[in-house]
Amino acid sequence: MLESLFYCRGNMDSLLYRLDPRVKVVSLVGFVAFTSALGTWPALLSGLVFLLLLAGISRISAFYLVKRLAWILPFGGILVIILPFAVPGEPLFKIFSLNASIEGTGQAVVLTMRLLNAVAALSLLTATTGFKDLMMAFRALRVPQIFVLLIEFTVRYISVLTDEARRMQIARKARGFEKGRSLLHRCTFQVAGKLIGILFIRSFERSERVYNAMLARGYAGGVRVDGDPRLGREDLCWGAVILVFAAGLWLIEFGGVQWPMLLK
Amino acid sequence: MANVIEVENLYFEYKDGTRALCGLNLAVEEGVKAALLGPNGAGKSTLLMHLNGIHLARKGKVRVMEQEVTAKNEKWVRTVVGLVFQDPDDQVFSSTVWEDVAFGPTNMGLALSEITDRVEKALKAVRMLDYKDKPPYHLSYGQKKRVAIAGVLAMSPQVIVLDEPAAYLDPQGKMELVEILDELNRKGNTVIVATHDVDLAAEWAEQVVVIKNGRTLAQGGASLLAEESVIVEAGLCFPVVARIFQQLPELDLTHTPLTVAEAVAVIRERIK
Repeated sequence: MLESLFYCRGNMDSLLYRLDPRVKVVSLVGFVAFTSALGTWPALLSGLVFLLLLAGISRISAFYLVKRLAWILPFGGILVIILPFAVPGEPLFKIFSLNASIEGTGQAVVLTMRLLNAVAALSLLTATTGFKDLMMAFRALRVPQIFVLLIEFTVRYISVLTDEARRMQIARKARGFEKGRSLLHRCTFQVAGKLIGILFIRSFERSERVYNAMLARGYAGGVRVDGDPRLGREDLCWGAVILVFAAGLWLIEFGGVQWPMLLK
Repeated sequence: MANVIEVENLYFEYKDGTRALCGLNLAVEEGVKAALLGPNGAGKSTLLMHLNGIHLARKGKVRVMEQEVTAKNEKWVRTVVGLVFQDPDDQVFSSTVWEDVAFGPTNMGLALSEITDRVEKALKAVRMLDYKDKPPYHLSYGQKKRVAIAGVLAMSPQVIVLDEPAAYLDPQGKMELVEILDELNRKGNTVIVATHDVDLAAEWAEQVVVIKNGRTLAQGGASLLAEESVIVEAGLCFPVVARIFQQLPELDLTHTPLTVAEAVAVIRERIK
C-alpha cells in the first residue's frame, strides 16, 4: 500500500525527476494556487494541457495519472453532479422535474477543471519525488518541524497499526468470532468499537515508548542539519517556467479585456 | 576495576501508583558482559530508563562513571549509556535506515562528515550496510532489531544496554545478536542485557544481577544461576545445562556446569 510513497515511477532520468525537490514543491504548489484562482474554462484547459505536457516530457505513465485523477470522483463528484441543479439560471436540460441551469453547469465544469489541475499538479510532484526527498524539501523550505514530523510518523506507523489491527482480527476469528452482516448488527458493532478503543490505547502507549526512545538518543526537539546543496541554474529555470506559466494564465484572465488594448 | 554504573537504594513509582522499584542496588564493572535477570514485571525496564536519564531518581542515586545522573547532565549520560529498546518498532522511526541511525549523532550536534562516518561504521558492525536506503517497514524483525542497535552504536556510547534483545528472534538471529554483542565487548564496551532468558545469561554473561519486585535479590558471577535459593525466589528456572547435571548427583561435581562448553569439558574428562 505504501509502496508508491517510497519509490518513484517511470523514467528516473527525465526532466521532473531530476529537478530539485525544493523547486518542485514551490513551483507546483504555486501552480495549484494560481490555477485555483482561475474562473474560465479556456484558461483552466491551458493549465491542464501544460501539466499533461510536463507529464509527457517526464514519461509518467498515462495509466498512473488517470488512476490518481480518479480519486477526485468520490470527493468532488457529488458536488459536480449537484451544482447544475442547485444554481438557479437559464434551463439547459431537464431530468424528471429538475432543471439544470446553464450557469450551474458552467460552474460545475470550472470546478471540475480546477480539481483536475490541482490533483494533476500534485500527482506530478509525488510521482517524481521520493518520500524522503519530499520531507527534506519541506524541511529546507522551513515548513514547521511539527508538521513534517507528523507526516513522517503517520507514514512510518500506519503499517505497524494496520498490522496490529490485522493480528487482533485474526485472533478474534481464531476464537470463533464471525462478522455480522452489517455494522448495524449489535454484536459486531460492539466488537468493532472495542477494537478501535484498544488500538487507540495501544497507539497512545506506543507513542510514549517512541518518544522515550527518541529521548534516549538525545532528542531535544531540534531541527536536523541536512546537507544543503546549492540550487542549480537549470532547476531554477524550470521552476520559473512552471510558475510563470500559471501566473501568466491568471494575469491574462484577470485583465483579459484590457490586455489587447494595452498592446495596441 | 572501577564501576561504570552504580545504583543505590533506588525507588520509583508510576503516576498510577504502581511501585516499580523499591530500594534497588546494583553495580556494574567497566568492560564486562552483564545480565540483568528477573521475571516479567520485576522492574527491569523501569531500571533501564534510569540508567539513560529518561527517568531521574526521585529517591536514591544513579551514578554513571562516578557522576550522579541529574537533569543537568542527562544529555551527557545519553551519549555515555546507549539504550536499545525491546520493540524495534518503538525505536526505529525514520523513513530510511540511514536516517534513523543518523538520528542520534545528529542530536549530538556532530559535523556531517563525522555523522556519515559513524553511521557507516555502525551499520557495518551490525551487518546492515546493504540496507541503508530501505524504509524500516520493509525489514524483518531481526533486521529492525539490528538497525535499532546500530542507531545506538552510532552515538559511540561506552555502555550499551539492551532490553530483552533476544525476544522474538529466531535461533539464527539470536546467534548473530550474541556475536555482535561479543564483538562490541571485545572493543571495550560494557554490555548490559536485561532478560528473563536464563540460558542466554548463562552462556553469555560474566556478571549477573537478579532482581524481583523492584529489589536486588542477588548479584555476582554467572555461578549464581545454579543457586537454588536465588533461582526459586526470583521465579526463574535453571539453565538447561544446569538442569541436566542436577539430575546426575552420582557425578559428584563441585560446581554445576552452566554453559555447553563447561558441560562438554566435564563429560570429556569423565569418559577418558
